[in-house]
Amino acid sequence: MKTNSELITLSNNIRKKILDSLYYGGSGHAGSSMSIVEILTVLYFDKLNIENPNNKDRLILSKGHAVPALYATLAEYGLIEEKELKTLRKIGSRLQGHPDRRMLDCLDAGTGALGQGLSIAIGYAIANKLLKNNRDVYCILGDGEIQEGQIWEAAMYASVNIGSELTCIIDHNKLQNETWVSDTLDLGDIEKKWNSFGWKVSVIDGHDIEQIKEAFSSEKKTDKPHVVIAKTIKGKGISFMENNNEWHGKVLNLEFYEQAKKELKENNN
Amino acid sequence: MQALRDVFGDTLVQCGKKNKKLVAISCDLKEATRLSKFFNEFPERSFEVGIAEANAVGIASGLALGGFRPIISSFGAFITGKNVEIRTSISYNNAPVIIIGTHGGLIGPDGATQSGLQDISIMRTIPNIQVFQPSSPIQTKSIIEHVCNSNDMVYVRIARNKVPEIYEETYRFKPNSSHVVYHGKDITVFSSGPILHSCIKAAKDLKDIVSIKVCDIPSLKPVNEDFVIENSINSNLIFTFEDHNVFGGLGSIISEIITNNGVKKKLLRFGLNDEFIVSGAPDELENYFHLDSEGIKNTISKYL
Repeated sequence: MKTNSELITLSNNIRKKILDSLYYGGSGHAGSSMSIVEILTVLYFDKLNIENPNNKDRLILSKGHAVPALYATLAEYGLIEEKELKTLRKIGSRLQGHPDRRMLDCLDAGTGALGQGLSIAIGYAIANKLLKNNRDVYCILGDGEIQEGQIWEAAMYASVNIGSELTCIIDHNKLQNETWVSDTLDLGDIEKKWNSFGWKVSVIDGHDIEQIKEAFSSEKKTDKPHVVIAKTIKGKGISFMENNNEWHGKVLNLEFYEQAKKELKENNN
Repeated sequence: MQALRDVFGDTLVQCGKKNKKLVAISCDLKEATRLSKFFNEFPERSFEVGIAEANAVGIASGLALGGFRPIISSFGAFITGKNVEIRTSISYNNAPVIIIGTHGGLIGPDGATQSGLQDISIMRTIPNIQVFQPSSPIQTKSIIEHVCNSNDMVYVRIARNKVPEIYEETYRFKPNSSHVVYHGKDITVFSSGPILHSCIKAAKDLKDIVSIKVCDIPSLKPVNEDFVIENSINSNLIFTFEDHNVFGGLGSIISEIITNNGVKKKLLRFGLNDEFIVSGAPDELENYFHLDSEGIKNTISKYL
């Protein structure tokens, strides 16, 4: 078991790796990747049981554009080599712009067209039930992503047919592709919405390691699927990216790359 | 005469007895598509998701990636309407899912919105998805047995119409299957699905005037190019008849093969001419769209 302070260090390492891959890759979604770093850190280093590839917990990154964060986490975990991160989005790379499990088989699903991952996660949960293997399934959604109708088809189905073996995390960074979620299509009271769809709902600070661990704690499991609304900051950890939607997909040039690395180094000290 | 969806439902139950990984997903259309037979026999492997085809596609993908062989059965018009979900959740993931689309073409009084008019065209443009369409009860049985035993991503278009048998009990389908079902030498007609029977009757009716060869193409993707070339190259004229939009369906498939391979023959494509069907009994619709044997006979005669 890692301590909270070790997990914070790992998060910082992952952020550095994200910057490396985005800079050397020459494109990719920075802000959306930075907001899910702590969530991925806790999942990979505290929660997921993935040692046996034939019988493992599953993680579906439905907001596939944030995949640089997942690649960086896999590199930190040791499932891919660190040097491979620099091939992000390049011809011949396994690190596609959006997750592709045909190329990188440690991924549980290829995603990218938003709104589809929760349904795939449900499919895995049903398969686990049939196999009686007692494994858990996690799915990370963007908050803008829940504007997709399929999410609510899936939410409705899961509350009737799936239990606490399914956890859905909403990366609630309040920004989407073009602007604020509230200025695009306001989500209203998302806690109430998921509650009324029959889910157990937790609202946490998505950058607080302890709160994330607590939310994923198996002692608190119920017979309902669990949605964790993680309040996050898009671009978290890099001052000029935080809450600045220019960094949804802006290219990280040398000047910004060095500045961002410097900030992370200072944070770590 | 037998409805192909009944054959599908019965065959699937037999396959389910042998293949314990086979699981079924319904979108509130299990009775109409005859998936209900599997649901009754194997309730623990049957999942009703409600009127939510996109969710059905994603759930099927997850089940497939989790080690099962899911089959979704719905109206072709509805399920292939979720082509972005099929593309990303199934095809992009190489998730071995079987999709059955019933009610393609000239379905009857339910009319245009319920009829699959562009399902073949949509599905054959999604990478690595095979597309099959049976024309007879025995062929339906063989196609369903094949797909339940394989691990490929497949779309099977099954018509609502009752059709006669033209194959022997020993018939075995495999991808690439294609067959000459009526021999002739002057003209070649390619068809697939229930319209094939109108083509055979038209060829018989015209036999004293012109010698027409009729070919069945149950495997639309992959398609047996050599078979198409062999059976086109010595014909004076080539026709395709289909209960699908002429853009993107069988006619387009044959056209692509002929142009790609330099077969310098005239090809005439008939089907739904970029239009919706209307309400009416299936036989009335065949007549209305000139896809009954009379209509096909008249169409061919115009070019003699």
